[in-house]
Amino acid sequence: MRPSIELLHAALALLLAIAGPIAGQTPPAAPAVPAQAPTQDPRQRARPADAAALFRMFAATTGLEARFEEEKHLALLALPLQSKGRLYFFRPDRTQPGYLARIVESPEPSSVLITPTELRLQNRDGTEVVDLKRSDKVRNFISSLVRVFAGDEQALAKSYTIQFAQAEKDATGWTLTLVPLAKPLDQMLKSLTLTGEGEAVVRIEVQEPNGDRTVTRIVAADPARKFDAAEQKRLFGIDAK
Amino acid sequence: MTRGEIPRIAAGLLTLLVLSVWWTADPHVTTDITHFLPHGERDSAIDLARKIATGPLSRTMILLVDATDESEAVAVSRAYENLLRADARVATRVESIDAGPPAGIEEALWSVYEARRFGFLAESAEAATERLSPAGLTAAVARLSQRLATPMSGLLSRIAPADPFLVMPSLFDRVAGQNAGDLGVVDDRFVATSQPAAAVVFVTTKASASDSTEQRPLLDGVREAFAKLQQSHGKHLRLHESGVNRHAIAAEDSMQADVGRVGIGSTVGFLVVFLFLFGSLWPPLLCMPVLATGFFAGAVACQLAFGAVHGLTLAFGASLVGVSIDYAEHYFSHQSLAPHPDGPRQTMSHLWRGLLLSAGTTVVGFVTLLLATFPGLRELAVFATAGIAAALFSSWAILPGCSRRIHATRWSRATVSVMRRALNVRGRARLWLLLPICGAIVVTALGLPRASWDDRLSTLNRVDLRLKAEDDAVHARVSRFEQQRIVVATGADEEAALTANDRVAAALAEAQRNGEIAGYGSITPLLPSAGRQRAVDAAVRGETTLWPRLRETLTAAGFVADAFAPFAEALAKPAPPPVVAHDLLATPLASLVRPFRLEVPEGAMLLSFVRGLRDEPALGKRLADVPGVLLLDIQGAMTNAIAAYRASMTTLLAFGLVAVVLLVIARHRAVRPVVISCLPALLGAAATVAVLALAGVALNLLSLVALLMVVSMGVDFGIFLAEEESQPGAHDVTYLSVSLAAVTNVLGFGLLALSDQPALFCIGLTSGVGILMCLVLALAIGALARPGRPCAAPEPPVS
Repeated sequence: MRPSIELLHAALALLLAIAGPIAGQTPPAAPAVPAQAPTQDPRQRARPADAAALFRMFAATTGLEARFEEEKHLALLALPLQSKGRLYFFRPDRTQPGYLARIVESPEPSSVLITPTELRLQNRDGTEVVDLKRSDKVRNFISSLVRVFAGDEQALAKSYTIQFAQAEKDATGWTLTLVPLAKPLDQMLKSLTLTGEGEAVVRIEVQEPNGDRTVTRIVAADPARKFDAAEQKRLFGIDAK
Repeated sequence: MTRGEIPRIAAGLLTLLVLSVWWTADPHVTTDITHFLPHGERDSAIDLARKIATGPLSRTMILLVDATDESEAVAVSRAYENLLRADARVATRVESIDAGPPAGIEEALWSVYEARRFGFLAESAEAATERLSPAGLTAAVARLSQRLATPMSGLLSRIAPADPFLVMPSLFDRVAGQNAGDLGVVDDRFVATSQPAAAVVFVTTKASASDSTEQRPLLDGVREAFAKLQQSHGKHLRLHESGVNRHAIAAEDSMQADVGRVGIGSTVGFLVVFLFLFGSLWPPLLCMPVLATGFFAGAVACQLAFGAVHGLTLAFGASLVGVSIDYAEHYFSHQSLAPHPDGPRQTMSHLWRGLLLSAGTTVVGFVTLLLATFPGLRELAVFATAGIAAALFSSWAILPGCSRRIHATRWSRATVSVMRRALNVRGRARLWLLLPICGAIVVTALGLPRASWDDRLSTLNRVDLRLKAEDDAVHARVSRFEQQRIVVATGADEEAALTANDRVAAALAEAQRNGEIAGYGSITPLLPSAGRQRAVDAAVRGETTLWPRLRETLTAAGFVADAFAPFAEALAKPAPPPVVAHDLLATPLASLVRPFRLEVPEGAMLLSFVRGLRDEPALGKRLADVPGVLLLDIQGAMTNAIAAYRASMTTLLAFGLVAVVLLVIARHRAVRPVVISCLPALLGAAATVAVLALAGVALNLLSLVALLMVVSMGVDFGIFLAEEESQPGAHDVTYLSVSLAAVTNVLGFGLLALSDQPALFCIGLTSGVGILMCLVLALAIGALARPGRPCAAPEPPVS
């Protein structure tokens, strides 16, 4: 199989939620953001009845902050890569997929930011910006995951089969599995599985065709997070109007 | 008409028939302006500018269709491309229509470069050696580890076993970063993402942008296709165009309109004057076969000599041949007012030596242009030479046999009488005749030192500001590379040019780091020289300890070293041939390479484009150290070349003038007739330059062409007057004939001064002022140089 430049960049965004740290420079936004303790426990709420209900729940979210811990199991590595950090999602405009920022705090600070127009990687070596306008394949692929958080079931259904199942032994548990329908997504991803309790996503697992997998555990989440203008600028690069 | 004239008339008409059939049966007319672009030595600035000006860049149009949003822009893009391809006027004239990245480009990148990736590890063998050092390996493995920890791991984990240095991802990144504007891709279509969203289509034509014969129907097809698009997708769509061909067509239309207006004006004036002087339209009708013979003779001669005739040559040549109407006017004037008693043929015989000398001096003046390096001027010389000679023959053959109906009118007699009284003065009154001569000398002395030259190409062609504004707006949305400053690398062959271009890329990278430029586009990321690729590849494969050291470094960093066995296997293989242009041109990657590469007979030219040029002197100095490389200022190169041409043409004109004077001397071998023949033209031309200088009008190449016509006509006036010096009655009639010639020539050329086109304005102003100057001086000098005896007018036949 011959990977392509677009797949290269597309992988970036798809695996954003489960990506490990980009070792490097402390991103300017991350340290300044005060850690807000989640004020609600969505795991205690009733679980969604089906995929549509789950996506409606996601769609109602305009802001999200979550702490995560992640393990990457790669065939090339003798031991899994481990990382910890915070995930931020913000959707100011329902006509757009939204903004997704992943800030790694350990082992080395780094960040990944997805906006409607670009993908921005920052580490100790500097900043790399991928213009999403240059390739619609890259843009569509990268926006896939953002669309998950945005609850855009219609858009996701064009590229994935969507399987939802409620846990049999757990009254609050559920899983949502996305399987790519065709190329080029199926070259990058075997499956993306979200595991949840109640209204909370507690685990995200990505399976790759070559056997590699990444497991991200959501430690805590605030799905009703509000971002003021300063935070919008620091985290997502959104200028105040 | 006498019986003896029939064979001569038949010969004249037969000549006209043969030439006209010959020309009209298979005319080869070109409108390609490169015919009139300066040439230069190979790889000189002007040579490079000319090749770029005629290369794919100048032949590429950008079409933008504004849409409501991106999804509509995509739909419009597909529909418009289909409409363009379906239109035969477009499809048969384009080299390519690009509305999106070519299909299969990613696969092509992989198939061409994957096996050759070692040659792209670094920008030099030394840099490769450094990357493969212990510190380099540690850094590379650390970087790999960092990248695998990112969302990119899914792809990298498949590439890394054979490419732990991530050469291929770096190459893909560099290719993706080449575009400088807001050109995005949506659903495999080019879309301008700046508001409003717009479909973007690049159309590269086969013909030169200035070849109006090809470009005009193509543009019609482009616009009609858009009209159909509006019918199917909505009238709200808006088309914006950018392309050199639009300017060429607009300039040609403007010139044709001006020439048409002048043509109508001069024809009406011509008819009025002839009616006034001869009371009949028969004389102007008789002029038609004379002018037609001259025109077709010039066209046929050019086609035989050069294979084709340029449209501009036809236009200028026709005007030059129009000078031959002076011969007919001279003959008509004498036949009506001072006819030979033995008939029209004898009138012609009497005038023949003057006519022959007049035509001869004109031909001699233009023959010197055959030495010009400007191909258009050589064509002009051939046209004028053949045309003048043929027109003279036609005048001799046809006019006498058809002139018995030409008579004087009271107006023509009255005009001759007035002129005789004014010019044939005696005593101290003759001093008034010195006035125009002294005036011309004073004006020349004052103005000639102030003469200035403006050799910019813009003085020859007015830029349509509306079209330019549209060009700028389109480029701002699609491409922000500099249009007039390009870095050119040349070489005896492709490899030599690529080697120079490698150094250009390094220099531009350094210039970018130093802030001299904001960015640049180069072919080097995709196509470095074969020598560099081999050297870098050899540095990698030749490092025998590379795999053991890399294995150790990988293990130390927590990798499963055995997983990278594909890299070790690749190291052991022999090096494949380096990437060459042909490998890319035969694939979808051709579209990435074409803008940077010009194929030329003498080798290759590689172009690099800069963006945001902030410090041109610093960049020029940086590139000056690289052999075979030039920071090309296209406009500046054209200006310098035109200045050089103008200087050499001035020399040729001087030789022409000397030849004319020598010819007149050979004819008369006496001072007085030589002075009468030549002085009005020489002094008139000098005074014309002086007048223009005093008026603040800068001269250019076309001014010289117009001065050549002025001298040619001025010498005709003088020759006619000198030939009739010994014939009092005939001499007075010659006052009328030269005045008539001046009036019709001003109507034919001088009215061009009313044009908005700088080229036509220049020719019109120079020739208008010059012809009048020559007329006044010819009359004054002709009258002054005669012995001071008043003469009675001859008795003309009653009309």
